[in-house]
Amino acid sequence: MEYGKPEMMAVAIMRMISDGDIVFHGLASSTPMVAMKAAKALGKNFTYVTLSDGVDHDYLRPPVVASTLTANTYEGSVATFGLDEIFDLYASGKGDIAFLSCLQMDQTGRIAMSYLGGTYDNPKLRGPGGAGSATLTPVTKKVIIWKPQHDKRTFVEHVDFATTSPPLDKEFTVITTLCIFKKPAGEKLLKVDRIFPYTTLEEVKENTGWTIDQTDVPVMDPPTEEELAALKKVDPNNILHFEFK
Amino acid sequence: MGGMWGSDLVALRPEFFRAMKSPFDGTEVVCVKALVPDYAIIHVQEADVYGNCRILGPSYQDALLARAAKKTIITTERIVGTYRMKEEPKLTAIPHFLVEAVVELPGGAKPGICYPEYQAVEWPKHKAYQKAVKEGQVVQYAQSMLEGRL
Amino acid sequence: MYEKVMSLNQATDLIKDGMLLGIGGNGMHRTPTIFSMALTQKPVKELKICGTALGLAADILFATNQADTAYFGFFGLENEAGLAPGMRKAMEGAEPKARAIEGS
Repeated sequence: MEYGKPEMMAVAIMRMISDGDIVFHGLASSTPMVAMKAAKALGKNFTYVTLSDGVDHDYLRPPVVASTLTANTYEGSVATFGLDEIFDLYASGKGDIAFLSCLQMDQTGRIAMSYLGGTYDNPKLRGPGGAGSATLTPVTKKVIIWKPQHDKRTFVEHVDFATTSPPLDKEFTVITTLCIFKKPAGEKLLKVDRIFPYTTLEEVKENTGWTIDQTDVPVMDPPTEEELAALKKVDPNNILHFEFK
Repeated sequence: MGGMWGSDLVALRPEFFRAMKSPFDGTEVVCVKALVPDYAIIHVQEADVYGNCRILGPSYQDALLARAAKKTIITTERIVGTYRMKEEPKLTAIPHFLVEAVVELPGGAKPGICYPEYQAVEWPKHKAYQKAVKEGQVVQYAQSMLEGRL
Repeated sequence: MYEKVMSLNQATDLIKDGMLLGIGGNGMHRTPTIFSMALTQKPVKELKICGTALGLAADILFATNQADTAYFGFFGLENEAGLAPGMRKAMEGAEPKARAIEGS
């Protein structure tokens, strides 16, 4: 069946969610939003919380814009649970997964969200800030970063100013358009965990700003018909493609 | 606060963040200086004349903001009767005693979104804002958007 | 309970130079943009702005340089609307007119 990078990334996200998980995405998160709705459509029994305050909203009502601040993830919810409550929940160790993003990242998982170029007080590009990443990353069981591109400007050798960085004792995963990086709990560096069927380890190495020593990495299974159907069902307006333009 | 480890933000602003040991058990915690706004400015969909406010759809952290500030200024899509609040007091996001001013201001979040009244950004007006920022003409842009309501 | 309905003009007159304002809403959603635009017509300046996720209403005050400090977890217009143009203009480059204190 036909699929592209957006679908592969969404399916990679869907496969990381297990029954019983409490899973969060925030603003500017159209890719995890569509993937999480599709995971629900596939029958995964997890709790969907987000900053619209909605808990387990009606995922069959299709989103019409890419903004994840709308009431689309609020309507049909069974309860409300605000972002401040979500932060408390995660700080007490009860949250399982949080989907976060970044402007830049290095091999130790240091993330830049505050600025690029110059210094903090005299930046070349003033970023939007961590949007909760700094508070959530140290305490969430599984932080999953998604980035809808894979190039040397994003995955750099060293991030000067880290808005946040992953703790040593926790698992940290990064999903890109080409592959999945993983830093296992107890380790310091990201390694390529899986590549996607349409790319090669060579292409990953060529587009990453740090040296990758690995020579052989398993290939993730392509999206199944069932997974692609779930994505189409929850997202008829193709919001998934917004971040990949 | 339990989080913030691994962020360069903590060291950058010592007037605001300090890492220290908890007096109870010695674990490392990050202390954040409390911010007390002079005013919270919040746009809601329903408020009565006393300042009791209901927020429809996502509240974001507005209820919390009203509690953190010394006083709150409310702009509202419409003024409603207090009987609405009395029907289910739990749904009143901001109680009257936190509020200093209520301004009846339909369209008060435009050209942005205010669920459920207007759920799409007015892009031509927003593009005009982006242009006004580039050209340093925001005061004039604002004046035209105010349409004499000030 | 006391009645407190007043005009936009009266409400904006409450804001004085140097005040710390907490602005509600998030990104392009339910932020008090018209109140903010009314403030741009007044001589008020040196405002400090805070909020979990500052958006359009806050951006306007940085665009006019009436605000010089932002305390936030996120400051942007999100997705379709992108980064915050007023905030960026005020904070980027060799001579920034405003500074940021990020909390999250």
